[in-house]
Amino acid sequence: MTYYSWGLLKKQNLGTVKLDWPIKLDSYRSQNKPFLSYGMGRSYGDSCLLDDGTVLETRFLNRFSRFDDSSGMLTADAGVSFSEILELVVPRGWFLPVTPGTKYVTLGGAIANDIHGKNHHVDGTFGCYVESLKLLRSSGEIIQCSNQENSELFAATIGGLGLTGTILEASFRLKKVESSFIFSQTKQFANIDEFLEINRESEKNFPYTVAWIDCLSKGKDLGRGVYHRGRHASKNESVGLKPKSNRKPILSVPFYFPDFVLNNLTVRAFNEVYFRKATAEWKSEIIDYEPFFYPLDAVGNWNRIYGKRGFFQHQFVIPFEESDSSLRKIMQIVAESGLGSFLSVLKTFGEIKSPGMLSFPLPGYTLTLDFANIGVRANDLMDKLDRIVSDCGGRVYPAKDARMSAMMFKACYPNWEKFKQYQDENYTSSFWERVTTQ
Amino acid sequence: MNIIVFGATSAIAEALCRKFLSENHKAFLVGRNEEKLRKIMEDLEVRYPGKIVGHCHADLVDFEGHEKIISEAEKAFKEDVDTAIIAQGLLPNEEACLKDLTLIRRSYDINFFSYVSIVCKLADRFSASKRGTIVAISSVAGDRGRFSNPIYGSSKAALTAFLAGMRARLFKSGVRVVTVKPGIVDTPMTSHLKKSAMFAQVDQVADGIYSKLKKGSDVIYVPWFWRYIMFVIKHIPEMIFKKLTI
Repeated sequence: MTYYSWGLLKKQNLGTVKLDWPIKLDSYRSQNKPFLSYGMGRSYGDSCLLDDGTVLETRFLNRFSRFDDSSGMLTADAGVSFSEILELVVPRGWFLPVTPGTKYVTLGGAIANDIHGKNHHVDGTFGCYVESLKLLRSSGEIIQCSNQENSELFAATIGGLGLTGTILEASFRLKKVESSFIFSQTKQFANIDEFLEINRESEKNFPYTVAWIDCLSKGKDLGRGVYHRGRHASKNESVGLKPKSNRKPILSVPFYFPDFVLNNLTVRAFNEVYFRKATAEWKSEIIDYEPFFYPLDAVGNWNRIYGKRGFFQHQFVIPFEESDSSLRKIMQIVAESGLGSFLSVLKTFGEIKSPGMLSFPLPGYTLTLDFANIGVRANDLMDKLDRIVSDCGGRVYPAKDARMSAMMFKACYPNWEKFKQYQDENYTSSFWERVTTQ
Repeated sequence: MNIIVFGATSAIAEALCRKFLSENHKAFLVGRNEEKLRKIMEDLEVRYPGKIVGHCHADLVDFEGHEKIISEAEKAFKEDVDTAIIAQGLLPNEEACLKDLTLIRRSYDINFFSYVSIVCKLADRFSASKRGTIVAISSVAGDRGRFSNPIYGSSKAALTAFLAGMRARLFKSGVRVVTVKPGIVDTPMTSHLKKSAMFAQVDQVADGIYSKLKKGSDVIYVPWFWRYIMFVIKHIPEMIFKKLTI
């Protein structure tokens, strides 16, 4: 079987086991090792891929176990998607405590990557809300993990990239909301200085903040973009509004675009239009949660826009102390290269520490850039960025990475050796092989 | 509707059950694997609280037990059962079966005889109260015997013919017998087969079955295009068809 990651990396000739209850331990353990779990394949790089061995698909582990309507504690199989969770809980007045930019991720994947969202500056990562989980090891053991039981294995599994075993089920706390709507505000900002000013102000008053950056603009326009901030709308604010009934993608990219479609000119054109669409003053509206949290999910298979060559998504964080000079330097380098794409996002991470041993966020600025896979130039640029990031004590996000060097990884995640003690000896990934065996 | 679901741990039955419960009906589940049945019930209880009235853990090749299961369901509903979904099934290893008659018998027991027994028991009750719907999951494989599955195909062919006969017998009593013929569906039963674009998803299949049921269909091909694929398959002359290894 062939497996793909979201950046269109692929690995072929892999064995496959589709896990379902009851877990047939014999069929699983007799397969070719090593193993790796695969949910919805939304990791961009190779952290969800295996060079050789057996992929354990979790798609059929997609049932809910328990929902406590008064405390908001939800227990579900690891293959349940955030999309299914939202369909269940939002009508009952609850929401995900943390969500990434797509709802098409599994619960297991969200834990394994310790995902973060627009509210990191106040709420931390998803791992902060996980109460317990059931972990399947290659020995056949199913281990219950939490802060009270097997706590080190629990900490290793959160953000553990699936390397400690297969998460079968997990319990986590939802947050109470009054409606399925978001009070949202957007505004243009002319350059990075204006971003810093708006961001400081917005973070004090809004739980959800993020900025889209035009990564091709230079000079006085360096770091211009559109700022989005929001909070859950109150019951009063959403009176008379009907929640969306159809939550499936309405469009889908039916084939891989030819490589030439996404280039410097088309990206520049898109960025200009997107920037001008926003207003110079704050524009407020009450919108359904979907377009606020998941704008790209409206287009199925949007990654095909990059063509068969695929793309890299490069996300890193730079600590606050180092950010003033480094952030500007990075944005200048990217603008000068002309290689960025239309998806560039800038946000701040807050102080809330995740329990995960290999968790990515640290207090600082996180910038996410997409680069079409055009070969050496893109790779050289990302290597250059890595040097700056590592020099100032920052790090790169494994869930998005496809090419960071072993030296970079080990420097940025000194906890990796402690983590290795909890790795299941029969689990690995292409990512892990690359960053630990050079 | 008060629905009794036989073979409730089958992926199609589970998806169909979710669909019915989402439309405010109630269900009683019958399945053989206790752990899986419990998982499914927990899930349905979270999604549709109070809609599962009870369950029974039973092996449906025990034909003597069918009467007892239906009585238990009636007790749990506290009223008459008016709908049945019958979905148990086994996709046997054809090569192994062709060498061992006991395996063929088992395949037939699950895929055909258990259905006959259940339908006959329900037929008595439903025709007495002059109402009821029986939805039985057959397969496109029953439309024509093929190289790849003479055993599974023939058991489903037998089932399709039996259901058609009972449909005619029960029609005057106002009882509906619906034959569902899924094409190839992505479920644990087919997980060992190489996946292709032809594989349908269970939710899609459940939606298709539900909407055709509402329209009053007798024979439901799902997804819809299998009706036309099988039309072609059925009309290929035997002289050519016997040379194909599909």
